[in-house]
Amino acid sequence: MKFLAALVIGMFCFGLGYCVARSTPESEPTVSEPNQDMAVENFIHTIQQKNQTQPEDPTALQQQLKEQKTQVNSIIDQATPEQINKYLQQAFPDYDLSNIHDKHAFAKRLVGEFVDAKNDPHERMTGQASVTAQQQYMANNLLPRQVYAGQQLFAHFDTLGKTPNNEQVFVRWSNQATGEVLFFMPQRISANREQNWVSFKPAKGWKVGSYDVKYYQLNDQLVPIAQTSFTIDQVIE
Amino acid sequence: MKRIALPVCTCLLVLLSACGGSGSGDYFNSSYEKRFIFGGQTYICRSEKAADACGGSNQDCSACELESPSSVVITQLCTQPVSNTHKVTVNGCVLQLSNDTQTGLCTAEGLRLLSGTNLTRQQVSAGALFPGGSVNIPVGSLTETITCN
Repeated sequence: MKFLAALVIGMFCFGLGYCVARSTPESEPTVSEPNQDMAVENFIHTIQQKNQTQPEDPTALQQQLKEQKTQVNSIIDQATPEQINKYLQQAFPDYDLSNIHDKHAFAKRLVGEFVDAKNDPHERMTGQASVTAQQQYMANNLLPRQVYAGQQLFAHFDTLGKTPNNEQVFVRWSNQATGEVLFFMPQRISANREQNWVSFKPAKGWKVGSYDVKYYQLNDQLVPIAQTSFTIDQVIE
Repeated sequence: MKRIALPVCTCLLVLLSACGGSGSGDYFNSSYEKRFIFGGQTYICRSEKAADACGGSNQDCSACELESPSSVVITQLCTQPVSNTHKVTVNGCVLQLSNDTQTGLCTAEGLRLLSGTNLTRQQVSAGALFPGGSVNIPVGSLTETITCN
């Protein structure tokens, strides 16, 4: 119970960066249920309002989850489907989660892919992906090693017809060296074609380094579609 | 149990929201494509942001394309009536050059060229302009000619 309190407090501390918490972290486990519900609702509301920008330090939460992944998974197992469903819907209000039948499995896969945010080059992929500076997909078009700090980069992927076309995918952008997750969200794409893209730029701009991008089907097991890595050698500020 | 699960679920929510979240800043976009018909005109929105704006209460379709012949993707291959000479048409065509692939279009202004394939007439219309209607490209000891004439 002690570690759970620490976990909850730690994560809430992370969340407090966004919101005005009314309760103190120490008192969290003893808050009565109605008050706790209200705090959660306020918390969600504030996150949704303030989440127009990216978090200051997502690695703190990531590290904590990594250290206590087993416990977090165990707790997810014990939560009711309704609870998981409710919070998934609140986290992703613009996305259709009806294809996710086993919300527990989905939540655990999310945690897994969030804390181990590095591409495994040996993992089998059915599709292909590449990152370029252009929205237009062109074969053999490589990303220039020199990019502007505030430039959106386009992660193109091709299912090669081996994945059912769907209007939604899940995508993760992460820093290869630190494992820091930069972007981890469902995205809406065009279901009538096999090639799509998701573009992204970090709030504080690109830094020199190597990055991973991975696409998943938005289903229970977050089945991978394609992954790629790219390197930025020079950033133009 | 509820007392335990609730904060944990909230943590899950934080996790999910933390890395991109439900925000709609200019940090990301996607290739979502949607058509809207307003006042008898069809708008093609080629990104999620553009579609959201067009389908929103303000019906701001400024980031979308009006459906017209110019929004058709050029797929026809250009002919080579003579070796190393590529004939571009007014409907546009794809040029398979020795070491590059371009899409060309003949307009009243001249020859327009844009690198790549799967491009629409509208996109190629904004490509490099050669007012004379043709261009010679040296490739090693050869010269490839792209022409409207």
